[in-house]
Amino acid sequence: METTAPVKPKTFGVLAEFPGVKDVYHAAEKVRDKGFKKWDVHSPFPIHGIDQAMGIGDSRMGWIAFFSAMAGAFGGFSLQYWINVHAQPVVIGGKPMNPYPAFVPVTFEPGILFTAFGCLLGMLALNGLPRLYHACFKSKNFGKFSDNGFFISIEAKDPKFNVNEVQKFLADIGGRNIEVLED
Amino acid sequence: MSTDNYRITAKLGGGPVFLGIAALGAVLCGVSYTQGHQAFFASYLTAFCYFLALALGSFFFVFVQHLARSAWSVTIRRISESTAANLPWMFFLFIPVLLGSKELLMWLDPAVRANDHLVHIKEAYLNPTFLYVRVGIYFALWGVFTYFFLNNSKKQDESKDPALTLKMGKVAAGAAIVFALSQTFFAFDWIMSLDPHWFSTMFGVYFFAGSVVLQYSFLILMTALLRAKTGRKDVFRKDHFHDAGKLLFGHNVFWTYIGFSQFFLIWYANLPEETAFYHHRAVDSWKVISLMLPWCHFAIPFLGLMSWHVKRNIPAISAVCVWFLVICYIDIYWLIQPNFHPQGPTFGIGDVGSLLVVGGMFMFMLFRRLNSANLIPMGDPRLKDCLTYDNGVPDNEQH
Repeated sequence: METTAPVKPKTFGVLAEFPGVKDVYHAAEKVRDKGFKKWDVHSPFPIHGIDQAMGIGDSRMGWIAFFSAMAGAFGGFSLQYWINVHAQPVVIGGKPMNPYPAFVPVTFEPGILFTAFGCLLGMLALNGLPRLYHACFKSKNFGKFSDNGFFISIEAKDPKFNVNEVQKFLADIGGRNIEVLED
Repeated sequence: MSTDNYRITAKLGGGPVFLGIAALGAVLCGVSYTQGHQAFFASYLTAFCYFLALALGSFFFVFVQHLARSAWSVTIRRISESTAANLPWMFFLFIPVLLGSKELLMWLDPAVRANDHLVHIKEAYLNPTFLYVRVGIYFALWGVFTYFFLNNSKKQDESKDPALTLKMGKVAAGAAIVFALSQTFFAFDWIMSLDPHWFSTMFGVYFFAGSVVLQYSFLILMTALLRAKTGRKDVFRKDHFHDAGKLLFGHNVFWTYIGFSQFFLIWYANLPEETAFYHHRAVDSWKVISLMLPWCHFAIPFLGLMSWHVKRNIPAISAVCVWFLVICYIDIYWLIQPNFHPQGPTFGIGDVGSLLVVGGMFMFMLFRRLNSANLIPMGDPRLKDCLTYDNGVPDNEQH
């Protein structure tokens, strides 16, 4: 009989609580300046200017929306062109066989539709959603994030991560209830 | 917050230069007039409508800011208030158009009204007496409203009375109605009725949409000028360029929407009395301009203005605005001139001279007003919000 050896848990990262919005905001600036990349701020509500404090750059959503729109518009125009000019040419209202002004509304609509799809799916993909599990929920204290708690978590995936140094760093910038979380 | 820190004035100069430009233009106009009366008046009307569109767009901007109780625009509102206040004075620039009205509006000839059935049935509206009365009403109303906003805003610089803001907000509702009707009927009277057989209920909106694009372009360029001259990056902020750029982008899409809707319905229905307008603009070299407008007025600036990096980069957005100043002139040229030059555009000294006369006088009046007053409405209760709001983009240089 073989007994399964207990799997050694992997460290997810370090979680620290901060007493208020200002504390977590300024702590975020310090984490950013320290050069961490894989980390996050958890707050019950959106904090104005937190993206600058965290050093989050320009979103890629704009490009996703732009190329979705172009794909939709191109698809909409091509569909009409193929139907009216090749598949089933019918003279309508005495217009030429390629009445492109008449194609504009239907070109526009798939452009909008595809942009909406692209934005929704792109937003989900960039946020890593849907997500059914997160190591932070192992912390009893973390439940406050949806009520009155402000947290910063620094993940072990970060190249600069070192369990002891990160715990000390988070304590230095004002963190409390510092926990090492396992994945 | 001490508001005296925001008492900003500047000597922008420009007075004699603009008068010199206008004088040079007057000489060119004189030469052009001797070469052909009708062509000269058509050129002058084009230049006049271009600058009128700019002043009307500025008037629109001012009352919309009051209607929306907007805080973002406070520091740049004085530029538009001052530009809009040119409206009543532009009556004097309109006198040459009035003198040439018989050359421009063929329906002013009683024989045309009597014999041309399509004109005859419109005589209740298209008759000389009513036409001249309407012109007087337009300019009088524009004068009353634009000076109301300018004077109260200046009064607030000293009194800091928030009640004035409420008062202007109330009057803005009336101004919106007056503006919508007067600018629509002005466009009907002096642009659409150049071809009295043709009509389009969208025409006034089309003129309006173009005028707002023109005004945002001009506003952004003037803001860039004042930012450079005063060095007040905390007052003429990058966020202002960003937001005015967004509105420029949006209103330009609106122009496209209106322009296309007008064309699309007429093209699709294909009724002879409606298609004449586009038919005149689809022959010979006019067709080049007709096909150029969707690309140069819409597609290229649409892509150019999409990114916030452009809208926050002052040289870049200024370049887009200069582009629009040219394109908006071509748009108005395209509305007016095919009635007089059916064989194709003939841009000449009459057009240049008219632009210099009207533009020189326009800028002379505007700069005189800006030189003699505070450049921002320092007494506005929303000034603090205007100086501190944040567009939330990851831009390191906030000012």
